[in-house]
Amino acid sequence: MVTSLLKKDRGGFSVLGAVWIFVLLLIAGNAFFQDGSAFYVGSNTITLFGKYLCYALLAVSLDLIWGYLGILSLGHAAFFGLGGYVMGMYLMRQIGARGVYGNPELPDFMVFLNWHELPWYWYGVNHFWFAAIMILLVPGALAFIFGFFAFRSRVGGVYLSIITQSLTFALALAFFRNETGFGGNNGLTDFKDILGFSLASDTTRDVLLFLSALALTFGYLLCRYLMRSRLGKVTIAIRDAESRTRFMGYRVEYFKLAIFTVAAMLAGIAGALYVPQVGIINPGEFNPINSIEIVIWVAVGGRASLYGAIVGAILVNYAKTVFTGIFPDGWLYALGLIFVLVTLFLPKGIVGIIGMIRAKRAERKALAEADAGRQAAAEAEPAAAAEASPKEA
Amino acid sequence: MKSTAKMFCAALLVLLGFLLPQAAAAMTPDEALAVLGDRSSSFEQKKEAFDVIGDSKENWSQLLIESAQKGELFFDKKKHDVYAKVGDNYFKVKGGEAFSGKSRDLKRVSVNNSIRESLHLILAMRTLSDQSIPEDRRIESAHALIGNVSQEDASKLQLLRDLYITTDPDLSEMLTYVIASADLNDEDPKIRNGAMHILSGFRSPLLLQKLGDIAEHDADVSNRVYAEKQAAGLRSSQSFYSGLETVYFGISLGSVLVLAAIGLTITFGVMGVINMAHGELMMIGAYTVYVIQQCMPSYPGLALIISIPAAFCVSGLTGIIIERTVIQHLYGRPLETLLATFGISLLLQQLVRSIFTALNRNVVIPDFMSGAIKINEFFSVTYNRLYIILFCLAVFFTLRWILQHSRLGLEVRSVSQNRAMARNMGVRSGRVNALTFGLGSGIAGLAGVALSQLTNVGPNLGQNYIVDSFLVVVFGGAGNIWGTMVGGMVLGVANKVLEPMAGAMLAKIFILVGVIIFIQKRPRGLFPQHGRSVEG
Amino acid sequence: MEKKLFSSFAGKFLKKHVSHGGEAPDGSHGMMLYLEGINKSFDGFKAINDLNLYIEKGELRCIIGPNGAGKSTMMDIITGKIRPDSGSAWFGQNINLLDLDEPAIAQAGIGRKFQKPTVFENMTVDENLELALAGPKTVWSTLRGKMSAEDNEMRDSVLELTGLKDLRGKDGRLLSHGQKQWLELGMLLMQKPQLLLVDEPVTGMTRQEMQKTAELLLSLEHTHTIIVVEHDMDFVRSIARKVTVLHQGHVLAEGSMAEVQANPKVVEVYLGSDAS
Repeated sequence: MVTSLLKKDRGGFSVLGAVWIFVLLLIAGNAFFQDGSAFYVGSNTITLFGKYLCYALLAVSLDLIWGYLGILSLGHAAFFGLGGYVMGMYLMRQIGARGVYGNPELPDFMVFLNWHELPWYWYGVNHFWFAAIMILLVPGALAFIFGFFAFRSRVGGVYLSIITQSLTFALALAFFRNETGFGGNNGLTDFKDILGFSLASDTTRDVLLFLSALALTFGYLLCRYLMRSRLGKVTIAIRDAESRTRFMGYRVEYFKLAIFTVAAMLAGIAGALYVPQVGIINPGEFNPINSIEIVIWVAVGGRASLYGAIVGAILVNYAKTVFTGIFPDGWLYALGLIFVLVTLFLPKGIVGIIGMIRAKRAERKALAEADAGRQAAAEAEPAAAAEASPKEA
Repeated sequence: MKSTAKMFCAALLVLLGFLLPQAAAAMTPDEALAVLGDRSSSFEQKKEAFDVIGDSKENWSQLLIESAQKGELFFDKKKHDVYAKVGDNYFKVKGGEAFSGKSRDLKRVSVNNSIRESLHLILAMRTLSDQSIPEDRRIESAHALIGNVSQEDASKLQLLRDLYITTDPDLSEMLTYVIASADLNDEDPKIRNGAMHILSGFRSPLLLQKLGDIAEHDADVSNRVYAEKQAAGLRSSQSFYSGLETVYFGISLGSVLVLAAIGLTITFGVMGVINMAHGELMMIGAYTVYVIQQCMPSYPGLALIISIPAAFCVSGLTGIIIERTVIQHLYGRPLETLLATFGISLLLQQLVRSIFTALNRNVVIPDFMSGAIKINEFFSVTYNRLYIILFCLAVFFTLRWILQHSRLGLEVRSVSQNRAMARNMGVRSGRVNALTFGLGSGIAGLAGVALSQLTNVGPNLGQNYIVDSFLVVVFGGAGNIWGTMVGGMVLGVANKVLEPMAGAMLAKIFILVGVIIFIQKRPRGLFPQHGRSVEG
Repeated sequence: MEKKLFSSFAGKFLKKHVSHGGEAPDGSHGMMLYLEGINKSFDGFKAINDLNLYIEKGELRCIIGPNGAGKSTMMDIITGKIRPDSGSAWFGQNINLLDLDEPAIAQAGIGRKFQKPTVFENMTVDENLELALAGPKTVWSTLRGKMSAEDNEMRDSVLELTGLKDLRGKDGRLLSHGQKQWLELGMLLMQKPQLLLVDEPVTGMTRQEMQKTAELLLSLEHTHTIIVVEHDMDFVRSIARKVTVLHQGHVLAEGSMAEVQANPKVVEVYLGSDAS
């Protein structure tokens, strides 16, 4: 099935292939070479690339709803954050008595706040299987409930965008509070190990990077499968002519709800893989600006192109890493300019440029052929030859 | 009992000095001054010394008492002269010469709590007895004494009250309350009862507390019952006024929201453009206030007033530049506009960080913005909120007038209702767009001026308000400025009503959720825009 | 009381969200569509004013009327886009249109071609037709949905009928106006509706295409019930059996083309001005 999905998908095949080659090289460099060797890859690089891959999965999930369904969510990071928080809660419980206060039941921040027992919503997350289910369920449930109301009442366009922004803003406010029991401003951090493996060890990091690549591949293929099915066609139909789709008998709100929920779950997975690699999750993840940044990754890569989203996410974040290293203040200027320039001049993103180059090449080829034909015809009918050259770019 | 009190009172007259200048006191003012300049004096001695000086009519006594109360009274360890600190300099209290010795020779005149209290009382007494001071200030001074004086001190006031009964009846009445408040502690239950009767016309949180005490602990049953009844009355009046205050706060918050949102409404409703950089245009307005105040540091109030047109122009021009360079290429693509303007907001924020640093800038709040009109003990109208409300109304009605009666308004309305038709009629829609956007942005600048008086002026100023103002627009219905007005006020009041119940953050969350639910019922807001073009 | 409230709510909910498309319209009494006493106003403007319209099963009805006569609003009401202020609308004997929303009405068997042709621009002609295909249209069934041999046959025949066979791989946005019209008609056929609402089907068509459209509609007569709204009088004349004239949201006259044209009221408000 995987091969059938990647058949005829040259872009996706090459992007995912490149990602995998890179990931395997990085892991090999980290696992088989010592510090000082020319091939050695530091654990920071491993973590950094793992982070990029989580972002890429997040971008793919946003592309599903923005590129294909036409909903510009300005709150998609909320689902990423929720997935991350569930994972953070699991990791927090794994610390056990090794925290500063040495309380085997309560995380440090609860001891600090003078709490005496674990809030009910922290029950169960100490089991990995339960946390894993919740990573899907919590973002999925929020997306489902929110989407149910929003889509039923046919809120759309910029209104919906603003409301999604309010959603993530509300979550940010809620998680900032100490009383909500998620570590307040500082969030959850100081993790020790996952499933018994130390988070500080290189091997664990390598495995996490590998898993991130796996999750990205799974997410990509799932989205591609969905979008290539008739469901995908209905999705695009909704994006392009919503009310027409409705008059054909499709219950548009259910389709939106389904896609929105799937996208939220994928974002949750991305968040859950992100947290053990960066070692912290705090309410800053819910900041509306984070959600808008995801949109720009997708826009840079190319909207409605799933592999474009991967390219965009990795490129923009790589640029961010480089930029903030050299010229810290410059990054926001650069990001702001990217927003403006991409929307003004590159509505189809990098994938669009590639498409344009390909079309140009095809045109040149056609022209050359026409030229050859013309020479062969020896000025017999120049007007007809000119007409034969395609005008459509 | 009562007669002895009266006699005692008469004796105190002597102490009060202002009737009989040559006081037959144990100390002369100069001797008292010497006590204060001597490091070996005990607190009791110092207290007496302050009393003597307080009662004297020496021209330096006021300075001494005031400085002592502020903790700025010093003495020279060697020469035993007493100095008052004024600004960064020290002046001799008696004589006024500046201190010329070494500053380590100066030592603060130490006081204890009991002295501090008596200084407070002495100052009040001096204010009360000085008829050259305007009556309302004296009333204020008397007011501060309610519940704060012992019976012994209150008895000193009785004469003053009798004295003022014809000349300053209001002050006299206030003094009656002061005395009665002291009598609440009297041993005789009848006097306590009488005091409560006298105080029944008076409202104060302190009195309420006192009545609560009596209602619980008074030995006399009828007093307890009476106190409970009075307290209940006060409580209901307190809750009424605190409700009124909540509404007032809510309206002032609502005014801020309306100011922030109304520019958005115009650009969104008329042009279909979501301007994510709107918050940053407010930020620019706030920084304009800061810059102008820096240019004329001695006139912060005037600078603020000049800032109003200046901020309108600066933000408005910025808006026109944004419209001409970016937005005009994106009409009909609202989601793209949203992204591009978000990019602009990042650029503007970073620009401000580069120029003014990321730190908050200190905007001076001029005198006329501080202070309050005191309606009663439970409720006062603060000036800054009042001015914000008035400013909001002024902006609102000016804008309404512009839209209804000016040529630009006509063109704006025609373009918003039917762009193609307006163009055919000769309306240059490009120019109208630029001006409309400029108008919306200029109003954002005005909102920034208002915000500079309420919150920190920093690069994040805009972001903190943008989500709220979007909510107002969505709630009120895009494109309808009345909708924005009602929406802003409703959200402002709702916020302030919920805040004490649920805390500021939860209140915000409730509002957000509430608006999301409201949008379910009315997807186009309270006052939707009408017409066929809106459909589909 | 509470229980009753709940059950009525639940009933409505189930009707709207679960049982859609389950019922076929019962046209056994010979009537396919009843609109009775319908009123609808927008901000005080009465778009529909006590409208009564009855369409027989298998009938081809033409509706004409000047701009603003309420033709589009009427279509919107039948297809569930707009809810009337008062009145009743039944599809057959058994389906109350006012209880249903757009997808449910479409599933029940009412197909609509829009005034402005709307096809899916980024999809090929084939895909456009596939989406319109009659059948279950839930999320799950579309995810698993595949074209069966029967479906392909049906699509081929529609392509044949609409003359779009050579364009089947072309994206919707690349079609000409007339081709889009045909594609939309084709999509309508794929839906296998009982009642077709056809809004201005021949705008942008050449004489020849127009004639073809007329033939198509006439071939559907009797097996389908059809309502055509059209401005082009020649076209109406070429297909009309029975004509309804709408004016100010109200039925002004009804009858054969000749009867209607002879009606002095019609001449006054519509044909009169048209003829002059």
